[in-house]
Amino acid sequence: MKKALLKDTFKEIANTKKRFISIILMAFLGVGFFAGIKATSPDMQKTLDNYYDQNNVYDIEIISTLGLTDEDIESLEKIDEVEKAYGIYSVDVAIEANGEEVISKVYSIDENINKTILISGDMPQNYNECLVEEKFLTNNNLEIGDYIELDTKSDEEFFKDNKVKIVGTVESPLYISRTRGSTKLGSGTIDYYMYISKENITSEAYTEIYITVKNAKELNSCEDEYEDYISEVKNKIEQIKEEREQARYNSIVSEAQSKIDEAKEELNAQKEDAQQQIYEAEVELQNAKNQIDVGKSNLSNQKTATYKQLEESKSQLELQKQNLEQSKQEFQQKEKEAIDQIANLNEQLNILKEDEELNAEQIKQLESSIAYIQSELDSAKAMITQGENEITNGEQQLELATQTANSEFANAQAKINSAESEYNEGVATLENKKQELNEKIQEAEEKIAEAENDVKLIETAKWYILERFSNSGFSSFVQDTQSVANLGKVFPIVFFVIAILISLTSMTRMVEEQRGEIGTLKTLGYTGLQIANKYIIYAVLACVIGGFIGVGVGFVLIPKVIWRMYSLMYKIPNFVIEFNFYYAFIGICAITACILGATIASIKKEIKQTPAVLMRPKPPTLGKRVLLENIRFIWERLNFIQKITVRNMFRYKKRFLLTVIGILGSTSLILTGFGLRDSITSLIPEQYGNIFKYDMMITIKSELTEEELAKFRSDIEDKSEVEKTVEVCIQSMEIYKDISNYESAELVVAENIEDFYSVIELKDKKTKEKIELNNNEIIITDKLSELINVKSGEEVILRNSDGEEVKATIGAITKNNINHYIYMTKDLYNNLYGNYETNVIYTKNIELTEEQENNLAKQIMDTGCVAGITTTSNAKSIVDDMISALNYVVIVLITSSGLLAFAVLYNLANVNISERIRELATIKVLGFYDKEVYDYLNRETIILTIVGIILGLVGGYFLSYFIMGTCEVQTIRFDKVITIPSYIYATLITIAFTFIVNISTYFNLKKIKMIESLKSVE
Amino acid sequence: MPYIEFKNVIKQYRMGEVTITALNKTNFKIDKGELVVIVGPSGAGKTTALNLLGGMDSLTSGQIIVDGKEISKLKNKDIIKYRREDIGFVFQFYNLVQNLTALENVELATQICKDSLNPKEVLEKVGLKERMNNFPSQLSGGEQQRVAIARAIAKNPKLLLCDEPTGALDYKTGKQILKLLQNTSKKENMTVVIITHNQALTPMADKIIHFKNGTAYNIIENQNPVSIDDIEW
Repeated sequence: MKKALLKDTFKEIANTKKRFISIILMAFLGVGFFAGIKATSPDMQKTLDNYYDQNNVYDIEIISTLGLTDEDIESLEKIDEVEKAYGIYSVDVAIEANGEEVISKVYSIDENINKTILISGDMPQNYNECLVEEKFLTNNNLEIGDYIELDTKSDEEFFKDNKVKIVGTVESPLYISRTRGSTKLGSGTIDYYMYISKENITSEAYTEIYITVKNAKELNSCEDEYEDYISEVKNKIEQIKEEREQARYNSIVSEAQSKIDEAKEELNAQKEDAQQQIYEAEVELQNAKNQIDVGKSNLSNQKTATYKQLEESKSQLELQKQNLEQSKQEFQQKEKEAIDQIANLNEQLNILKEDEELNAEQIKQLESSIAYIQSELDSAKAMITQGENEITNGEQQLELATQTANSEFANAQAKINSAESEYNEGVATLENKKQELNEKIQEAEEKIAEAENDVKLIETAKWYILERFSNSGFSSFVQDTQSVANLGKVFPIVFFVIAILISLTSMTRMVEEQRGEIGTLKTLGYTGLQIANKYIIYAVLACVIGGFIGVGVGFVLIPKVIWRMYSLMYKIPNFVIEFNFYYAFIGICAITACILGATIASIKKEIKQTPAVLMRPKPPTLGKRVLLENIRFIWERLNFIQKITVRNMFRYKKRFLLTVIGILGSTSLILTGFGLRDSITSLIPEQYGNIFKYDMMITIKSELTEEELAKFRSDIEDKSEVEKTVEVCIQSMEIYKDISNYESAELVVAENIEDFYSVIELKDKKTKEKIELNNNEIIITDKLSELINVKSGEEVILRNSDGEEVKATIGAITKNNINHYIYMTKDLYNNLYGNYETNVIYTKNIELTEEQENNLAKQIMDTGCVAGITTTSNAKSIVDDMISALNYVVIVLITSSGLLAFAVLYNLANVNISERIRELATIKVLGFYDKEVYDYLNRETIILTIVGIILGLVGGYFLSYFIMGTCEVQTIRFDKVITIPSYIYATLITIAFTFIVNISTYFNLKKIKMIESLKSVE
Repeated sequence: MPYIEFKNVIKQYRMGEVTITALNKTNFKIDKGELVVIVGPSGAGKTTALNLLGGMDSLTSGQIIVDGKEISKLKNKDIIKYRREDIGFVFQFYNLVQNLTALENVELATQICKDSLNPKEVLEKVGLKERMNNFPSQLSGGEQQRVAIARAIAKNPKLLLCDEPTGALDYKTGKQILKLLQNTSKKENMTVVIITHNQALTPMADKIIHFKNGTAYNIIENQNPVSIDDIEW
């Protein structure tokens, strides 16, 4: 290229700054928006992938119904692609915190896999220390250093020490979203996760094995390539799966069996032992009995002997008595005889005494005979007395002996009696013991039988081999990146098309304006290519500059803004912004190619002409009557200026079209932005006002009996704040038609249908007509039906947290905006699973302030029957957070669309002025005031703007529906609403931008130099 | 007191570093109803003077007085008002609005003036009764210029300024246009200023102003203007 021409090119740029900048701006907007949105999804994916790689997050997770062992790890590690396998323990626990029961999943710490990020505090040093989530502390008013008690609600021991100390807070890469999964405990939803030392876990088998796959880190885990590779490895694991499952089953069964055998043996030993003991006791008892018998007979023998003796002594005594009596009688006779003798003697004596001297000898003899008889009498008397005494003595002795014997016998009898009763007792005790033993044995035998039965019931171990996609956080994040990618399919294209159209007009106009110059250069002998180069350089330069600024700004700003919105829903640190060469290249090339193409096309047209033709100005578009003029009825009603406006509009058809398209595009984008916002903001009132009509959801402790529950319910109902209570049973379920495409949903079982309708409204999405539950079919929510791809009438499979699967038919699809639900009646539940048990009570309250509501909740909590309370206002605020994030997107949309509208109008206004400068100068010369000149031109712009806005509102209506469909997140269904104010705002914003552009037009018109504009030849 | 007076009018353009003096102390006077022809070589300042007189440009120094008003001192809005009410302009290249018919082009001017003439009558007067509803592209050069003149006259201006009105026309048509201008001046007693580089036209004027190097150097009053019909060139 000749130097002069190059110089001319740069001079041209300097002279037409406005045009150059406007093309830069269009390229900037088009490329920036395109590249920015396109890059967001990969950036987000890259961020997640980096996060996972850095924290060594598993590629494959294995869960087994019977737990996993080191042997499993060994055999898994034998697979070539497996880098390493890690065994982890986990369990769901209930924790009492602040009187409320929360559910947490506890993992054993392994610093090599799924590495957690320590946010505050320290890693556990002791076995009884744990790490929790930050929100666990804030939500439950706990601090680092506090102790909590973990309750597995199971008989099996899992922890060495249930009481653990919180030593720090962590973030786990396993939980990037808000969902923590489901559990069999409490309300069925896990609220938190936590980590604990392995040393505190007593469980013998691992709960899960996490596997890292060789070379998987090099791949992007959101992409198919990764998925394919992992599936391959999964297949290999699948091959060893059965063997390992069987091995685990066998070991468990044999262990259980040996335990049973042991128990049986022990039981037998015990049985024998017991029998021996019984036998011994029986023998002892028999001995005792014999002894008693011997005692008894001895006693009676003795008794007889003694009594005989006594009888003998008595009869002897009697004999003695008789003898004595005889002796007495003898004595008395003898006494009489003696006395008679004495008297005889005395008479003899007396006779003798008369001859005393003579008879002295005789007297003496007589006297001595009397004395002798007297003494003999006395001695006989004494002997009788003695005999009497002896008998009395004997009698006394006998009495005594009898008494002694009697008392002795009584004692002996008593002894015998007590021995007998002791014996009887012994017999009874033995009988009892025997019975007891029998019962025990029976019990033990039953237990063994039960255990044997249990062993029979042990199902073969089942391995679940899961990929990252089974992690709900991961999968919903990837889905969200996909909806961002979907967003990138529409928006940038609208931008791009408009940008290209606008730049195209600018370039075409430029070439047209410079016909004269082109002609001159041609006459001077420059070739077509040389001449064209100027415009090519001009266009390429503008596109490349604009494009580079666009990718520079777009790659940073747009992903960042979108990321900010998603970071409210996902906890992933360190957003990665990458310069995406692919999209930068595509964006810049596309815009350059399009604008360059247009430039070359228009230049080709000019260059073909002969210099002479070119030197003459391009004949202006011929004046023409418009169709409207034929409708005289309308035409004649228009005033002069209106007629001119109408005619001008039809004269510049291309610009007319472009203006309309440009404004249409931006208005519809702005409306889409507002429409999104409307749909988002209508979500909460719709879900928590029109669909869920309850104010509180009270989760009841599972151990409550029916009576306690009934009392609790009536207690609540008695509270003045509560209008109504409704019982339901809520469980976490998995639902699917096709196993590869399952969704988690909450099952809500209506205890009483009429009550149920008063807190949850079931209605058709379209007709809004009420839907009724029946005892044969379930009702599922709209988005859920879409995700698992079922219609009413089809059969689905429900799997509860125990893994029980049942079939159910869908009766109807109900309108719902947030989360997924399955509804059924109590009867149907009893048919499917049996054993309906209320675990949640909904309340409808009177209007309450926040404080009143908190008070009420506290009162209910204090009853001790409650595991947790969720108030609607609470739930609202959680969703609110999530949703406010989406507002960023709306702001981005509105701002960029506004900018686009501005650029379009500004550009077209400039083209309009430059194209019609003569005409404008003429009317200025004629003495049109500035305002009139402005009106002359702007009346057209205004009409076109109005047409554009109207079409844009229509287009926006459809576009917003399309966009809402693509950017819906998984658990949310947007109602496609656009409120009247949104139409008004969209209109006003477009008008505002039109107005700003018009102000600049006004000054541009004022600046038109009449003389110069009219000087050139025509 | 003259109707129009240029007093020491200087007009300089600044083109970057260079200052070009287009008019250098120009003085002349024109009376009401006069037909004035300004002649001179190109670059002599004729058009600059006419533009200044027509309120299309502002001067550097000096005074321009029209009908007792010092238009060189008028504010922007008053200048536009002056153009609107007092001036009729005719250009070499007609400058008709392509998208409007002959009649509409005239109406474009009349609808902003207070004492405007009836557009149809004016067009009739310039001999375009039959072509009234034609678009400029359907008219010949002479016809287009007549529309332009009609547009200027219809405003009923105090001053009709014509910059090379016949420059793009053939001899015969040019003559017709000049005739039209002369008649307008005579019949309507309108002050008409015509710029031309054709010296031969001077006899038709009441006053001839010669321009050279940015000044009016020779002002000749012609006591006996000749009808254009009698002028040959």
